[in-house]
Amino acid sequence: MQNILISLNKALSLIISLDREIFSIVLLSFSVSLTAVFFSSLFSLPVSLLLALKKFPGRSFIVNATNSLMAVPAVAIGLVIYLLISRRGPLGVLGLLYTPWAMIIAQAILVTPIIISLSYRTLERFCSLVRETALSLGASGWQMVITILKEAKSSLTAGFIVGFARVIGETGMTMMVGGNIKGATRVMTTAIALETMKGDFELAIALGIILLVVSFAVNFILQRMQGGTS
Amino acid sequence: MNIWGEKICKSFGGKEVLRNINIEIAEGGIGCVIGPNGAGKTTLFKILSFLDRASSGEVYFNGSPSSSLSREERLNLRRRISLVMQNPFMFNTSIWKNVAYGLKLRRGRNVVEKVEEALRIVELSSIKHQSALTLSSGEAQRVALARALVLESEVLFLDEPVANLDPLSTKIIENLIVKMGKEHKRTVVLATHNLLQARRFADRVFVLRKGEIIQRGTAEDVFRHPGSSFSAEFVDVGNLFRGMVIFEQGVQKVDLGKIKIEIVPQSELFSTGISVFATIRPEDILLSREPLHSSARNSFLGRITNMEDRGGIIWVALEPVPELQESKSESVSAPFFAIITKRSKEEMDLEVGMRVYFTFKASCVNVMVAE
Repeated sequence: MQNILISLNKALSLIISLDREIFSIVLLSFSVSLTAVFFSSLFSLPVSLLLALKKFPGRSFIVNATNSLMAVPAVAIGLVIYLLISRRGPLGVLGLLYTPWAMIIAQAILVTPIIISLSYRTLERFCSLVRETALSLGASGWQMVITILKEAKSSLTAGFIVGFARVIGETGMTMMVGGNIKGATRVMTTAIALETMKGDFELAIALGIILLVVSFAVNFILQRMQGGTS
Repeated sequence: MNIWGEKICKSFGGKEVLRNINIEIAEGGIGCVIGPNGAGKTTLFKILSFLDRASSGEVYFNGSPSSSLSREERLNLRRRISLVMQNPFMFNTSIWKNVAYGLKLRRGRNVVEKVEEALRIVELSSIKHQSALTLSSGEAQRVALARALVLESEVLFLDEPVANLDPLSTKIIENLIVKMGKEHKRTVVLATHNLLQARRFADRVFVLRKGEIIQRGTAEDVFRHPGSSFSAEFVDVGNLFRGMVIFEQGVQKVDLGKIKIEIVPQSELFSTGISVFATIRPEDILLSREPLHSSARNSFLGRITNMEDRGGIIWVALEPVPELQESKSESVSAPFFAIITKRSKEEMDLEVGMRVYFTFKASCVNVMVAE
């Protein structure tokens, strides 16, 4: 007990003194996960729009496939990415392994089915509400799509936040492709895992507190948004 | 702009919603499509305002077929027509921006002036900066109407514009309909299940039932010669009679031939001999085995000619019979309809052919001049 309290005390002073190592780890975590969500949304959003607005052959297959992909364990994605980008892998020449880009790619792939699944349902709901009203007031096809996106804005953002929370807390896969290299690919979760195993609890506790604060903040924002739209 | 639908059919997943509809919406004036809920009014409006396509048939505007139009031409045509839905969707922004929406899409001019004017007409200027999501259904309907008004469309379709609204909103909207149709000579087309409303506004009436137009003509025609099962089809007005205003011992009544019903005195009907329509909602009629001593001014003896189960509630058709059994076989007149529950029917042991008293208050009789 004594040890834990001492570690907690040191951890808090690390946070308060804005320790450079902690600061850089937190910064990298955020930039990796935010970039992953950003690149995923470039793909997920058009796909969701297509699924929500158009009836085309193969649509229900894509919807089912997306739902199934949500259940794929992160380590499996990590393994596949590792095999692809390792030196001897087909994409090995790019030299991506153990770089932040490897983590971004893996996290983007992990988060894409989640974002598509949430966004397409949101867009489908808003489409049925907005479509006829927009058209009856003279919207062209594109103007209707923009109106739907505007109306669905906060619900879509909620989906992105859920996706962000999923990847920023991810450990195993990020460790496999990122390598947890100090100063290069060490993010909050991988650092916590390593420091705990080393028995060096101060840094682990400090990062754990920050991670907890992040997830509480995310939850708080989500609840505020849902309260605002209902 | 003339809109003319020819042989319009529409099915959803094998279910036929509209069947062989021929309809012409002439320029100017107020048209009215009346029919019970589920008759296909909304679907017809969506097709005529180019929001949806017919499964077969053709919609013509000013004589040219619409199916041969390019996407661009169709959009331009659609922008000359507005449709206000029954439960309008409000965009998640202020009332003002909701009203400005259509003008912004068109990059229209004088947006501010037009929006302010429309808001003034629907009497919502004082709350224009409020969020549109906080409105009552009556206010939302007025915003929806203002959204369409600013566009100055040539044709305005209104789907059940005042169904279930508060009296103030109803009044504002009804005044607006009359103003648009009669003063500004815009083409206004209403869908309603309310006969009284149709009677008040419409120049031309189309009666839609189960996806087919069963009657059409001027409002006068349709109301003078209602089709066989016409009046009973409408839940709102199960009882529609034509009669004449009379005075009996200083009491204003409507003579329906067989019986005379007492009404709430109305100044514009003072003169005797004026021809009127009288309507009574079936749920306002009370049945009893014995004569009732109550404040209700109208109580008559009737014979049950028919009972029909319509999903838990029973529609009872009654033929008035004179209390003194003088003339047993009189000419058959339109029956009165009353609605009762299954339990009431069982407890009162009602059967076809039985004699019961039917009672209703004078204030439940809605009277309008038939001219």
